[in-house]
Amino acid sequence: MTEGPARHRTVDTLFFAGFVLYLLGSLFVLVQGAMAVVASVSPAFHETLHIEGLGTGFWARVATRAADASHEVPTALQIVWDYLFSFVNLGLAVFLLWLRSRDWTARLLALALVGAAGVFNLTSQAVLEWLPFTPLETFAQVAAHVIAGLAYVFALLLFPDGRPVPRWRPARVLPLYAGLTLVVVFLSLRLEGESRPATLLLFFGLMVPATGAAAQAYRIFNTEDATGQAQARLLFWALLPSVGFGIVFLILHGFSPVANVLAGRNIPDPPVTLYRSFQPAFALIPVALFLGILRYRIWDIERLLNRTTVYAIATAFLTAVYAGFVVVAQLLLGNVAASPLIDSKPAVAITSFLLLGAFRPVRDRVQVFIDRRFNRSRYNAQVTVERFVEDLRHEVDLVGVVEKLDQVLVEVIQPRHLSLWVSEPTPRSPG
Amino acid sequence: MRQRIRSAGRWTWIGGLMIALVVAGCASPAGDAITVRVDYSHDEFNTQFIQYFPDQIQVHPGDTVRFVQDWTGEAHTVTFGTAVREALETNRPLIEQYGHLPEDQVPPEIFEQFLEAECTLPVLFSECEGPPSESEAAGEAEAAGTEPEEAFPPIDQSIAQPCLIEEGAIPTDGGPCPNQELGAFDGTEAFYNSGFIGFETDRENVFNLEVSESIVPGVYPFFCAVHGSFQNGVMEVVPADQPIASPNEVNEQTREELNEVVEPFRQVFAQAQGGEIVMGGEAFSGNFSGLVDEQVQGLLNEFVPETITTEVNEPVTWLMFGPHSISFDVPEYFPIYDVQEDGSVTANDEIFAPAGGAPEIEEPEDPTQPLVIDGGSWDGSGFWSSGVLFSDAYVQYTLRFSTPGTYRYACLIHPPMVGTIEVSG
Repeated sequence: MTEGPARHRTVDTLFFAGFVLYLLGSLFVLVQGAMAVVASVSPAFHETLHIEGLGTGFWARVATRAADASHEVPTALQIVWDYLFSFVNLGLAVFLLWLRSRDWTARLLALALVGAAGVFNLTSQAVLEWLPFTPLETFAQVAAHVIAGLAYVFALLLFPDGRPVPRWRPARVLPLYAGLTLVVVFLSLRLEGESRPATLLLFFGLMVPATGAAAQAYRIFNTEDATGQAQARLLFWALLPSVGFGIVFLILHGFSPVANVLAGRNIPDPPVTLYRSFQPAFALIPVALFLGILRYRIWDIERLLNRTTVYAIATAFLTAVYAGFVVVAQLLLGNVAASPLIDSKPAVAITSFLLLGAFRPVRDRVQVFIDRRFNRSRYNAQVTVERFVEDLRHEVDLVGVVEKLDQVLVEVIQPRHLSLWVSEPTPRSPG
Repeated sequence: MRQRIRSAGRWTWIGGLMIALVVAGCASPAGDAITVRVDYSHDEFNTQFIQYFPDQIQVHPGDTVRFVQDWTGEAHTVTFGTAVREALETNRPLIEQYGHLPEDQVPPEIFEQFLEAECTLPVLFSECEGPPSESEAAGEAEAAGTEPEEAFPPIDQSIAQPCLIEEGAIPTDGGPCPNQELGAFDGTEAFYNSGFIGFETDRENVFNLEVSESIVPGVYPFFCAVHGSFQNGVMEVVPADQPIASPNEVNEQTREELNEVVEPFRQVFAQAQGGEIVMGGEAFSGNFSGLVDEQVQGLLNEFVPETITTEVNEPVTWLMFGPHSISFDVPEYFPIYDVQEDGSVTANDEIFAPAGGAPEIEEPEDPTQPLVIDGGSWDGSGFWSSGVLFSDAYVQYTLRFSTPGTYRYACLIHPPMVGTIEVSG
């Protein structure tokens, strides 16, 4: 009986442990880049890193990379763009996981976005390249690419309904997916040692968007639901520029512009053109996903947005009230710090209790306001139910009650079909 | 409630994993070991120092000292022993007193005294009498009507490979030591040599010196058997109850010494980027291939400017300070030294010889005068190398390009030293 849930819990635990680990890895890469940026403007920090780097071991390598790379950090605009890209990806990943923590499509997307945040940050990647990789670092780098690539490919195959495409029987889909996995892993292992930029180009530049675009094209032609088609169309058009860009780049340049012409020497030579070209094209994918989720209210996002908005407004309102209270007190009593009303602990406690007490009524009123203003259907449903409850107090005729119930259900639930069964009272046999 | 407990258990498990990973990441394989840098590759420009940083350390019996070498293209050893101590007792004071002076200002008797002490030790780049030099070998071969087999002098294997001689004379036959198992250093060994510090990566090539528990407190000088007495240091063993500098304090000292020694390089590099340097009172302008400074025991391995623009068949001239090559279309794997299956170390002759039609190098009649070479023309394809060139003064090397294009070039003996030529039609 408990085998199923126990297995789910184990899988969930493993996934979240892996996700946290992957997130930490990605953050580590970003922090490494940030260290170099700080060192480039702070001689004291630069010197500290060098002293740390004179030791040996993991942290010495981290410090040396950051200190050495600090002399060639990109321009401020490029750094801002790199980190904006990364944080948008990371933010969206955490948000997706929070929204749909049990949904495997959301989980895969979250993994993919976390990977992309680290992989496509040139400021950080250039720092990593500064020292040749140890075998462990090479393994971590390859693993990070494989995870991000596979997660992206499969997330786009499953998005948004979690049903794999093509809609074949599992016996036919599984070999296809297994083959795809093998190709991705093989390409990654084959190319990683020779040209990391080539891997990036094949993996993220071509394979991810091409697979995603193909999957969404399949959905457009094989989904009858108009909303589903619109979702697929949005994602398809967002992926297409990346596919086109990858193909054009490959035709025009092959891998030559990213190959190191002085092979065998460890000369940091980050593929700036490749990164800078692909970043905007690749940034379209998470943006399109987010827009799709918002526009088509996938994964109950409207409930989350509604709740976030209500709490934000209620909190802001009460904060404003408190601030207003302080200002008024200041005007009436002079210096705030010296005011016994503000400074005394009982006053603070009373104010806090008042605010806590006011929170719920305020939140309810804000909820009504938001529903009335932005979520008309929900507001109408609520009003209709309230009116029905009121009518029941006065209605005594069963036929009238049934008619009204029928009317309310249609209005609130909007079912395709409705039938109502009223049980006949069983006549009691005389004593 | 049960659900919450399960959830808490899951997050405890995940948190524990994270903590374990962080702890494992923070742990250093030799966190408490004192580190001595052998040579150093600076982050603002490529450098090579024939020095140890710091050159004086204090340790306790039983400690481990990590000698860490950046790979700048130059091999180094860490060599102790009673023979080394005797030689350095003479040479260290001489270096301190005369080391900063130009050669022509050092009294000849000092040179003799220095060489007499140094020649008791095996030194690869030695001025002592030994196997015939490259030019002598070439001359003898020419007289005999044969080509010399090697462009680089044979490498003494007791220098290149680990060598432990408990007592007695150091072998001079050039062969490997019978005993290459070093063990902990107890201070009584006649010769205790790390061999060339093994190449692992561009950084962190490590030789771990284990100091024996039984070593007698005292001063133990060491030197590099590749470069001789000039590259030396002192390890002082103090009783276990006497405090010594922490590894981090030693690193701070290292950084201070590095900052001090690199400052003259920083100035000459800035001058070169401005197009003109002043050396020994003489001004030089143009393209530079490597830079030196009289105050620094090392080389600044950079092509300045890093990118040269020229036109087809226009001469490009470099002024070369220090031993360097100018090489195009460098093969993917081109090691300076090779370790053979039997452990013996050999130099890659192809590195030192001209290639691709570059003119043969002739020994200068007067080594104190500049060596002027016209390298001819390169058509932009195939491996081409000037060979490794050196003159006590400087080398002036000229080359033309017959095909437009962008070409990256390198110095074959200094791996990070690269430049670019843009040739327009």
